[in-house]
Amino acid sequence: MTSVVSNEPADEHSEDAVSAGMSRRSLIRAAGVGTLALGLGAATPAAIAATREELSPATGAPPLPAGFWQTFTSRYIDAGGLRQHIVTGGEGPPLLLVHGWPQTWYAWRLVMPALARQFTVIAPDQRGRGLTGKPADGYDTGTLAGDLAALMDALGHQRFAVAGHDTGMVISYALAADHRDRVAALAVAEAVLPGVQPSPPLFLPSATNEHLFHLMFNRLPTMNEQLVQGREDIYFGFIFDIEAGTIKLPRYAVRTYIDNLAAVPGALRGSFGFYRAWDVTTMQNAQRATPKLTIPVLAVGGAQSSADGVGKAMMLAADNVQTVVIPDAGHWVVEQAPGPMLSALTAFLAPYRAANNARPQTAGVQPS
Amino acid sequence: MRSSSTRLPSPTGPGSVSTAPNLPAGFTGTFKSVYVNIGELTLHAVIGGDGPPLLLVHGWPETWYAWRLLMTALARDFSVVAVDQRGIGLSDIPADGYDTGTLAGDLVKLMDALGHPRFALAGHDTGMPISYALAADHPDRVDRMAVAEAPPPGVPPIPLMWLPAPANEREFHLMFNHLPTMNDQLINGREDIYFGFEFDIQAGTSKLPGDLIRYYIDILTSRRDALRGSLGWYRALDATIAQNEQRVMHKLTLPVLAIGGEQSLGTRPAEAMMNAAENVQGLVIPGCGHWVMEQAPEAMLAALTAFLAAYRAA
Repeated sequence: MTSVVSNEPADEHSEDAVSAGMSRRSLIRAAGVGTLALGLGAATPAAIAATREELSPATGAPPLPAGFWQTFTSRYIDAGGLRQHIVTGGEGPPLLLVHGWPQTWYAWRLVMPALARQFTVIAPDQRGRGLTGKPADGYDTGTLAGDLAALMDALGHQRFAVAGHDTGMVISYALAADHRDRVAALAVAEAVLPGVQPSPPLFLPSATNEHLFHLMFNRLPTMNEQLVQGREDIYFGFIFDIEAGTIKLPRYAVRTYIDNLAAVPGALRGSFGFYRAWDVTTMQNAQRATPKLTIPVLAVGGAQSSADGVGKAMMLAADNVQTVVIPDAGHWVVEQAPGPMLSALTAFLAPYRAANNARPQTAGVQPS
Repeated sequence: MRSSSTRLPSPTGPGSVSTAPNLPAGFTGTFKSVYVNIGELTLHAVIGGDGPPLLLVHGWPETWYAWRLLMTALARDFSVVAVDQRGIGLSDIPADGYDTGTLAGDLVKLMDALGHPRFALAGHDTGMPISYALAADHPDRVDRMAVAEAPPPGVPPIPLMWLPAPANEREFHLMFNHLPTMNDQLINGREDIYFGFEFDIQAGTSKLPGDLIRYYIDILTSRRDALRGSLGWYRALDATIAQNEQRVMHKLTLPVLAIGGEQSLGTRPAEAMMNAAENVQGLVIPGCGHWVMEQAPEAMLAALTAFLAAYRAA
């Protein structure tokens, strides 16, 4: 049913292999393989490793840093009533990486190897995204944070650091605020906090309007999906381009994300889930903001995107906020500027790491 | 007035009077479609009636046809001009000029060509900010104006982006239509989905009939550039807003009637116009959504007739 991920063939890391053009038929077949494998009934959910094809059903093997699968494994964890797909590896205090829209765990690939030298890294696919389950409901950040708290319970991590990007920022904030005894340090990037910061105006200059229109469009209950279905290239191609600024994401990465949205059943609907629950998240955030978080918070923005806006938003919700603006980067900071992101993260997490290395987390799950 | 208009070419075909479905009795005997060359482009207008001139300006995503249920009654007292905006219906679709200042200039040239130096004005939806621009930029031309269901962008109060879900559904198009690209690629070939949604979501509880929506959507797919023309007003929002931020510094003095549907914008059109004009009456049409002329024609006619009585008498 499953194949243990071990030595990957050397050619799977080449961009050429991916952009050589997987046929649409092979995308669907690969997705089917993944689904079938899950359906055969696992004994120990934590021991299931997804096949390489399941990890990115669309492309089969998206390019990854050399040696990635020697450090990391892919797992399905049943936690919080949800089958959660994670990519995990490394040694040290636990660090949870929460991706944003319209991405998956893959958004963290460029920083995961270095982080794994200092931390036990856990990069899940959110509810509704990637290979994680896609229920109809539960996309408010309270429930999404609950998914992650349950995940960390299942993995045996009582206390951990969290880094969240885009919608992952809003989810990570909920996690830190709703589970204050669990989160030791919070790093967030490139999103807004509805219910905490005031709404921007509806009418914005054209360039800004292009960056933010999705905050209204994505919230529609059905029509957005009807327009985008079958036209994922158009919609998400635009989003990846317009949010990038001057440094565009490589084609293989955009292709990986878009194929995931187009080929995985329920992924498109799941990707709108966070936005469709906006009203509930807003009400929750209005409650969360008092009292403010006391843990250390790192607020990161790309200079060509949110810049210091993230810091300003977080200061409304937290007392201890450091702001970092990454030059030349747009919205996709982790992929556009992995070096500066790593520097900022590791510097920020150094006290957490130092405080926790005296008490290593063991709790029954072997690191890969 | 009639003698000048008989010299104007008359379109037939989709979007014109002669092929319009479900017209009230007597409509085709009173009104006709004309093409009016205003220099930079040619506009289509439906004209008819006797009396002081009254210009009717439709909104998005409609055409002159939105006024049909009121026009025969209005034609008894007024020379009615129901225009297709630049880019829409049977009017030309130039590359530029969709800011409300230029669109207002189109209408002034239209009324010049038809021989009307001074007129009353009614505007719905995007036609409301166009009417505001016309009254502000050409105050000597407009006697009074009735406007409905679209506070002019840039006139306070400033609308917010993050709204409860039902309001978000009604207002997201103000950001989506503004995109310079991509919106048309998503809509193209899926006009039924997009415009069908808009006609539904803006209506409130009393939906417009399916064949009426079909009529408007067919016009939006009838010409190669119809979609581009339809989005033009929104894509020019930056310029319109900059203009309105200037216009609002000098309040209009002409009489203004500002109308909202109870299930749609309610008092918001009046609230905005009170920031832009000194002499504003507000009206909320009970039980009515965004499509006020088509959902509540009797109420609209009564309101317009009362509001225009002083203009008619003078």
